Amino acid sequence: MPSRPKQNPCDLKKLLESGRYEGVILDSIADGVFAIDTDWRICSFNRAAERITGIPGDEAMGRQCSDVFRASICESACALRETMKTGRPIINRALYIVRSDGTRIPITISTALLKDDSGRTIGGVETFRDLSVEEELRRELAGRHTFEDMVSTNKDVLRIFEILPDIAESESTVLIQGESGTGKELVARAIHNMSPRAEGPLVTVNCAAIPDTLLESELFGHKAGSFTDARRDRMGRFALAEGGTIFLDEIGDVSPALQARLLRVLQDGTYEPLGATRTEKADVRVVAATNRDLDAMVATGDFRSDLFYRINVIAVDLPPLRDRREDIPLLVEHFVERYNRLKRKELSGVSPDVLELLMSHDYPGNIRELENIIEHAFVMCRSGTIRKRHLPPNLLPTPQPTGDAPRSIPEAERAFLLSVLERNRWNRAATARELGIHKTTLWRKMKRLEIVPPPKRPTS
Amino acid sequence: MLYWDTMRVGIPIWNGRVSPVLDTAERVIVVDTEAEAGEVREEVALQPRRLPLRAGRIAELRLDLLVCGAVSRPLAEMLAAAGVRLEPWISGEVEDVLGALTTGQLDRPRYRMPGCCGGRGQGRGWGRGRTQRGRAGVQRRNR
Repeated sequence: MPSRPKQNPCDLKKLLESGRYEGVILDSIADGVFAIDTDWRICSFNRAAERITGIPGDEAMGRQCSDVFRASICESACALRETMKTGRPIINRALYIVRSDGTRIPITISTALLKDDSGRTIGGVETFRDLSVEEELRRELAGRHTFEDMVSTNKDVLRIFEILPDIAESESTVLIQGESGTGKELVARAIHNMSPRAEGPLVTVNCAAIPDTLLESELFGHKAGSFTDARRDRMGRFALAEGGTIFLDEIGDVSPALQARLLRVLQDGTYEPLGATRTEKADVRVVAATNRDLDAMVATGDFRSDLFYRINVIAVDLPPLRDRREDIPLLVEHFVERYNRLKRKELSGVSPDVLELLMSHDYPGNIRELENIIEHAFVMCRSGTIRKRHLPPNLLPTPQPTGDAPRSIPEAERAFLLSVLERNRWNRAATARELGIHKTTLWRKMKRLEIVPPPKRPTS
Repeated sequence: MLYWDTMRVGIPIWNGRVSPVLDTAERVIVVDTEAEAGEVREEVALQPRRLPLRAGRIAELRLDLLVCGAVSRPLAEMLAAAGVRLEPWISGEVEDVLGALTTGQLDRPRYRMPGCCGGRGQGRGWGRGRTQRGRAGVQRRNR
């Protein structure tokens, strides 16, 4: 086999210096790279930059870099401007850019100057790395979904967003009420993160998850020998939260005895670890949450009224998802984007019939349930659009068996149509779609079988 | 339909140009042509960084239209929920953009951010078409 002529290293160097392979080299790297001239116009834009920003190179070329890059720092702290001014490169500065589809992409950037042979600055170059996956994983691991992750267009939720900074600023105890999965912990975290105590710890205690016998020691700590297994002193969660916030989740599940001790902390700001003879002072802000109706529990004597009034200084009521259905499309988009990043997939979203099904579901598990549905769909769907077959089986409509067996074919047809209509909340378009017939056909059948839609319920 | 001669338009401004990112824009120029004294312009600060508060602050400006550059989807959704009419993915000098608005030429590719609308081979930016306004800029209202 004839051997190829050996490339002289000097020839290769000359070729590279000629600039003929510059594009090939730039396009082969995974990081985005662009260069600008002294008028801040893009003069080079590699393939990775196209992929990360979603902008074709030919559209980017010659445009102002801020209109192309759309970074969070363009206006206030442009890194290239700083490099141009100081001559010093910037390495790995974290920021985000906004893609054309409205997605915020977390990235890190590095900058350098471009100089000609005489040493005169002729532009700058910026390299950037997409951190979407890393950021999502980091958040997932740390459980640190933030205020920014809360998406809503519901007026009640927007009102909560609006007052949250003022609530955070105050030192008052907060009671967050809402069904399971409505985002109580996110709100608690947001309150802590926006408060003057943000530098301090946020300690979360799920009161329902810890047996009552252990909860007291868990909250207040204990001294060695205070009970059989207490071999050494142990700090409680109140001590761990010193200078910060303690989040008491499911506070409605706390026993009456412990309620009395909690009341003392809230009243006097003091507590005693189990077996201790000295009283400890607590510099801790209390944020409590419950999915139970504390008002009703007070009325039945299951929850101390004095403790209720102590924790209910500021109340935040999170509506269940079924009362803010307008948020479902936005939340679906949000979760699809999130799992696309986490699972490294590129699903385009959900099909219209899936969205309709998701809109009509009641979500006893609220937003968490919706997220679980999307996560399930991501396992079942390899690419393209999430369709009905990718959803959990319990979400899909199944014919409901009726007590009395129909006696004739029209009766059977009537019973079947009624069950499908009820399942689709009397939405005729959805029912027709499920049955695979036209809306007018459905209407004719309903008329023939004397099926009358129920009167519309007044909206609250 | 809106009319240029009777409206209140906001444009986030930076160095005389439309701010590249509404989520981080620091100032908005508000041009009010309904004022008795003729056209009135004022620049207002956009302090809040957190999106819900930013959306609330923009809603307080009671604009008929907000023309802006890039905007993240959550912020755009919050603005839509607050009743703010949005014309996003616009770039250029603010004066040129205002001029294009009066003459109904804001749809021209030169005012579109790259990769958004009117570009070659790219779809429209997601925010376009979701807003309630008609195409081709702002038209005159019948008196």
